[in-house]
Amino acid sequence: MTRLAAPATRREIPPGFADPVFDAQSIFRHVLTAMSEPGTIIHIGGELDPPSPLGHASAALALTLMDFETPIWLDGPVAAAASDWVRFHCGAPLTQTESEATFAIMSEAPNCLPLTRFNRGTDEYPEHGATLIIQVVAIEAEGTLSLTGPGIDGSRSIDVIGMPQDFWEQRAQTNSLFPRGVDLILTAAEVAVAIPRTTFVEPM
Amino acid sequence: MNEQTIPASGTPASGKTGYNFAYLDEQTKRMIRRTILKAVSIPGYQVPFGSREMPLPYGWGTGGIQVTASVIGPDDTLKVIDQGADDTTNAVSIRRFFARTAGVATTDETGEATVIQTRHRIPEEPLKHGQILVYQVPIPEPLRWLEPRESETRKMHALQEYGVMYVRLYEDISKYGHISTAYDYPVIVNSRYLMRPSPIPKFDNPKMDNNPALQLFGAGREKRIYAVPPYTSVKSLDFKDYPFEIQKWEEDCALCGAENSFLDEIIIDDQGGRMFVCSDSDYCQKRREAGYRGKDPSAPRGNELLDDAAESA
Ligand SMILES: [Zn+2]
Repeated sequence: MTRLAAPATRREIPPGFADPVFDAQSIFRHVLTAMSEPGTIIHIGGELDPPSPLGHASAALALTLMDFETPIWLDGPVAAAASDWVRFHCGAPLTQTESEATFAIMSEAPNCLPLTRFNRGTDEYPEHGATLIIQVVAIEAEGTLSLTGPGIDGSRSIDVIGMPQDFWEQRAQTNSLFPRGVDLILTAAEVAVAIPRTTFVEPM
Repeated sequence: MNEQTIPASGTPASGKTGYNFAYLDEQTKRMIRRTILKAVSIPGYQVPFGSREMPLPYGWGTGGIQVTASVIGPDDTLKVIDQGADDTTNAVSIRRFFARTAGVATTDETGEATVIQTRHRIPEEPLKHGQILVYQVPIPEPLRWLEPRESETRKMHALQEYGVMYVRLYEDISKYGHISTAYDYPVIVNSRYLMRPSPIPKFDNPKMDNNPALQLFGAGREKRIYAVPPYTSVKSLDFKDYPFEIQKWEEDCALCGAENSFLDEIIIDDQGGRMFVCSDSDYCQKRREAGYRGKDPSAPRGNELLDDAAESA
């Protein structure tokens, strides 16, 4: 019976990518599109079955971008359910200190506030600014937010449901010292949208 | 659930060739991919990365190759150009490298490519939304000749202190009556970062501005990646009284008659005969296929002559 103990523990961790090389490449290209064309909605992570509340798209991003070089901060609910999954599949160190994290995953948007807790990089090394993966209720093309900036031909509008009242104002303040800032990837189930620090977001 | 369905993270694809897919191991690709995303989110800023040894010498575009290798997938169609031509030794080697290590389709046609790796030109045919242009960069730092210390140039970028570059260009004007820089002409990206566009002719600079394609720059020896997202402002440095100007030619392309294309001067015989032809071989070919003719349409293309010369040297 003791022989079953080790496999049983592993069996509790749902699988990662079926094909790590090609899944990661394909998802990266979607993320690259998302980051270089802010507000573009991408579909990722459909094949995965991560431990709730870690969402499909968030999990796919973790598998694609995170490893032993990237300390990760998880909010309470994600940490409780998915710490083992993230450690096992990404080999990434988890940190309790927000400012040390290269990536952070939040089960819901209110948990990311205040944004100033995260690393915004420096004027000399702005790339140290963190990438925050924030799970929201829903993301829709066309809506109440108007996006402008690099990667956007004119303006693009989206709707994000599940954001705290003053989120966009806090984000603008947090990123007011460009090139310092945090980059956001918002996810909802299998969709995601990126909002890098260069994007101006205006609630309409 | 069967335990064997849990793949170990980062398992390399052992293709039929025994290489990792696109040569690089998964951890390296992940690191470069993270670097590319930060480069995109800070347009024009050079992000340091852990450049890997590649099976080609520096100067063969190892930075561009690492970027392409981290981006490319089995559904991509790759075009590689060197000085505008698809058929030079360098371009052929890189194309073959990716055909072998990634099994991707390759093309000479700008419009067919999803990823274009380039050394020293931007294609004449306008790039499209969804395409990725990867530049091979020898020296990424625009301020390097003015300030050799990395710690100082980093500060200058941080403070947006680019006065020395304007002074350098203005010295040109007082010496020659115009700005003599014809290649690698400095630009400002998104009204913020001074950027070196790699040694493209300044003729190509206006194509970078507000381009619908994503532009990625890889410098292997200097370990830097930078980017210009689509629809991003890229302005060539100039002065009110000396506005930026691109190269112009008295002649049209001798083969296809193009009036607005970047021309190479080609020596066609040992009597000193010469002619001007499009540097972009695919563009020239497409025009000739469409029936356009220059004044000497039957002459061989310059690159064929140059390659012959290189092989006999
Ligand atoms: Zn021509």
